[in-house]
Amino acid sequence: MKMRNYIIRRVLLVIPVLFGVSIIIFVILSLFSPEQRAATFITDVKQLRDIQGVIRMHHLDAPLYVQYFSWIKEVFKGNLGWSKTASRPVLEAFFYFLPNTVELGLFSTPFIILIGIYLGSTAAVHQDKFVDHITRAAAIIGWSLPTFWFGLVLLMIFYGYFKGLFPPESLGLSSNLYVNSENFVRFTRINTIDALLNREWWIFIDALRHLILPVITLTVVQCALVMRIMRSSMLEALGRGYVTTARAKGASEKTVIKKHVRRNAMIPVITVSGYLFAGLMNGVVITETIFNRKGLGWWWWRSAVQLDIPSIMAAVLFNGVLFVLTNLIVDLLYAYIDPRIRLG
Amino acid sequence: MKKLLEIQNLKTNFYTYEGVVKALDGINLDIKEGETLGVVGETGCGKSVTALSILRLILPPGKVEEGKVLFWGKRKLSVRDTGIDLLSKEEVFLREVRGNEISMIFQEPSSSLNPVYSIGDQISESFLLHQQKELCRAAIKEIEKNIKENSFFLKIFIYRLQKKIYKKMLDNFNSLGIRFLSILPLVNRYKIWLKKEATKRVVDILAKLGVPDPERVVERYPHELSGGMQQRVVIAIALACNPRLLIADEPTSNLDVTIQAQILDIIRRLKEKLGLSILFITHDLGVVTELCDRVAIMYAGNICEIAKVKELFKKPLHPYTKALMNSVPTWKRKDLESIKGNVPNLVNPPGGCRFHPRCDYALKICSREKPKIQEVENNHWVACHNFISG
Amino acid sequence: MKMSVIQRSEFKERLHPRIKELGFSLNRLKKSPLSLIGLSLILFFLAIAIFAPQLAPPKYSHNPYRIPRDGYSAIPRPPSPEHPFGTTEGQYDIYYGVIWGTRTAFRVGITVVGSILVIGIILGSISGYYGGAVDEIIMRIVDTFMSLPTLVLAMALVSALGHSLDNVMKALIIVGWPSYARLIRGDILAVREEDYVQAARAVGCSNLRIILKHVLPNAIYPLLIMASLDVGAVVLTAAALSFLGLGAPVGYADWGQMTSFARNWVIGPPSNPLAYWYTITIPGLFILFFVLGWNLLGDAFRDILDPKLRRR
Repeated sequence: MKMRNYIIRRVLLVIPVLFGVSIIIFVILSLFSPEQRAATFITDVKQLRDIQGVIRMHHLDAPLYVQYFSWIKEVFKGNLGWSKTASRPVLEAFFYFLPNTVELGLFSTPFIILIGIYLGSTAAVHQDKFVDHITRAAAIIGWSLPTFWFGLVLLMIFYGYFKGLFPPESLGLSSNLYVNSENFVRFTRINTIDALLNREWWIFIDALRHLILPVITLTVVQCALVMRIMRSSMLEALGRGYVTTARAKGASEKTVIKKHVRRNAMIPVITVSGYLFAGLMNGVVITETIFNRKGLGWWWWRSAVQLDIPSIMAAVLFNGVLFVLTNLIVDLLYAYIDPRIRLG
Repeated sequence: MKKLLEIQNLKTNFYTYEGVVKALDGINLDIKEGETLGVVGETGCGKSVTALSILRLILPPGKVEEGKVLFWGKRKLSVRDTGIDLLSKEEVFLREVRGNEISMIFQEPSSSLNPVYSIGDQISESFLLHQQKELCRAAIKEIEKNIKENSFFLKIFIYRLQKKIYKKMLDNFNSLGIRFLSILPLVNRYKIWLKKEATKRVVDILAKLGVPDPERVVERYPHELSGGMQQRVVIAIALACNPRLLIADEPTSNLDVTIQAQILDIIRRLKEKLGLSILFITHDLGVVTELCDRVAIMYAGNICEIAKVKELFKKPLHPYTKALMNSVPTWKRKDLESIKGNVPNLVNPPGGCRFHPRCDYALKICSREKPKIQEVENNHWVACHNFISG
Repeated sequence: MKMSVIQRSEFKERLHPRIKELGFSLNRLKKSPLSLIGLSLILFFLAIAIFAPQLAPPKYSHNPYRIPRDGYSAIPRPPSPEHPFGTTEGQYDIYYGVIWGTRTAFRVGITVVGSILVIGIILGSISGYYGGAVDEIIMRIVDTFMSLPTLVLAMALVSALGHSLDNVMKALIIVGWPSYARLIRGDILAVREEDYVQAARAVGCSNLRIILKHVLPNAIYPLLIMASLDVGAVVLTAAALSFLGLGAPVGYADWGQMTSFARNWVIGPPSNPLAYWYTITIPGLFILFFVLGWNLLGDAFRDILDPKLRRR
């Protein structure tokens, strides 16, 4: 019963934040000149010829609050403008680039979380011993790595020195041709999954080969954060009274750690996962740019360089929505695991 | 009365930045079967450290330097006159003792309980750790009963399989095969029988402790219970496997007076019903008079005086004990008396007897030599140069 | 006169507690190898930044941040006596670039973090102290900012403001202050309810005195920790933005900018694929060690200053 109320309350909280995000987007939008912003309302290339008409039609020279409402109206209609970098409407471009990014996230996130939790847990249990120092040093170095530099170095070594072992881009040339032909059925437009569904193993392998370096680049930097949080929350849990009680019950140290400490330590980690996604998005932009994978991050980079305003705004909007949703899921998960939240 | 536990010359140190804290400086105590020994002292005198040292729960930077903890209560071992020294045994042995023959309860019930597990889970953990064979046998009996009552062919087949698993568990509760089976999603439903048995016993012991509506409490989480209820759960965890000795480290210090009275009442009843020996650590002299047979006074890591309760209050011998008695406010006294001076820093404790700087009866020898604890009168032990003969 | 062990410990006992704690902190700092490494790294880079004019005499005296070009060929040249670290595409001297890039890094890091500290503390204090509607508004703004990834938001802002290093700094300031505001507001709210503040109020302390004497000293440590960790993060983000072409202009002495040159030269000719390693490795290593230094220091601060973790 209380869980339901908690869910309802939590979902309702989403609205103010989304509202805030829309305000931010609009503030940034108004920093551009009216001509640049006219592009936001165009869905068809032909409309570019009559910029002044577009400006007048969408009140781009009207007071700000009027502009805000007309913009919101357009957004709700699904019209996010025309993206010149993608040569198609923004919403369409979004779904075009999405699968590549999803693929990257799909393969990175499990590693980030699992490796981070394992390393953090080990470091905490063996505090101040050699293992602890090594893992912490690795975590700090990982956290200090410039993502773009690390990716380039990996490319240099594994693509350059090892003669094309793990190449950039999403697919090799021949795979690319095959995938775009009629023989290959597109279910999700995610290369690896579609390859499996089409039972074309060689394309699957090829897609994996292209995924390895970007995934490593993303994982190394992000799992340092997870590891750090896990370690500190484990250390805090280890100092609690119920750990001594468990030991006094006669439980083995392994059981104490696994059953009592870890479960409690995971709670802050789950909370942090929401922020993990934000970090992931940052990493995604750089990783896709370096490895030339045509995903959302790559698109946003091109938009920022070429001043493709509608796409930039879409980037902010998408990230805001994504963050809000992930935090919602995280909060619900949190309530499920920690009975103190669930039962009030 | 037979001896149950004897501590000989226990020394524990803590290695910190400020120096080596000599927390326990050669403790000598003994507890007989069925008796309740109180350990009284100010905060920081080493009472909790003593308790943790007995069960070897001292973690770095602490270390038990020397001494023996002889225990006569180990089940399944033939009675020996010398007892078993707990401090010299392997960890596996000690794990069998903890929670099973010697149990411990702590001060803060809310921190002693794990917030993410239900009450039932936490109490049954004690059963699952130490009474595995009994639980398996009971589960097998229950399965057999169900096989007889049931006629559906598929169910009987499943039951028979589960019975086989439990028979395997009788041999080795944690073998690799069993652990593998417990991970598989559908197969590990066999654990239901075990859980049912454990829950039965949990409800049983909760009822014995006067917890109302135990079937519902089993599903609750610690934060949903009041302080008094939580402490009862902690006691249930400790007494689940019928230990010989219960170490209670200030279990009522954080509770309201009325709840305190309830908990003490429970402990007293258990003492009578189960013949439980208790090491009761407290700083409250009033509680001591209610519950304990004998009492030991502790100061700065040393035992000063041990005597029967009535004897101690009637005739305190050690200067520290006398000062403690004097500082308890009564109707007759007009002023509050305190002991002059401060509790010593245990990194650099005073030489000789650790109490001598604050003692009204200090002799010259007190600053040089530490007094050994001696039986001065019938069953009345004191560690003070004023009473040592020779 | 050599003090015996007992005399020294007695002396230590009689010192004022705050000095004792400082001594304890410094001792822990000294004993932790990671913090020493971090400190030495930062001092190393500080020395480079201070002595930049001596280490790499500027060619354009009015604008020392313009990297001198030795020709206009696109192909980078390997390290040689005139160019100790080689040259990048367009013949920009890498050695000069990384030396003066150190100054840029410090400038960006310190300015941005300093600004967000000040803005964050002011807004957070107002929010926590006055409460009510002001608090709600500021916190909603903070929530909204913190729901967006820094890089993406900074990218959007820099596009709006124009591609330059100064705008990158402005964008990072706008994006960065919310976490500090929230931190200090949380501290003020927590400390407000503490018993010692109630006690102080009970004996007649004014609000300002309470904030200055009780709130700030307790709140300062997490802020310090966060700030030193943030210097590294800010420099990383700024470098990323410059790398993506949104920050410092081409030819400016900025580590991120210099790495962006290397994108086309990651793979050398088939006979020697690692031929142009210096274009990537050297600027990148500078970034790595600079950020590493600040992260190590921040981590060391956390271990030392957090009262819960201090004595184990």
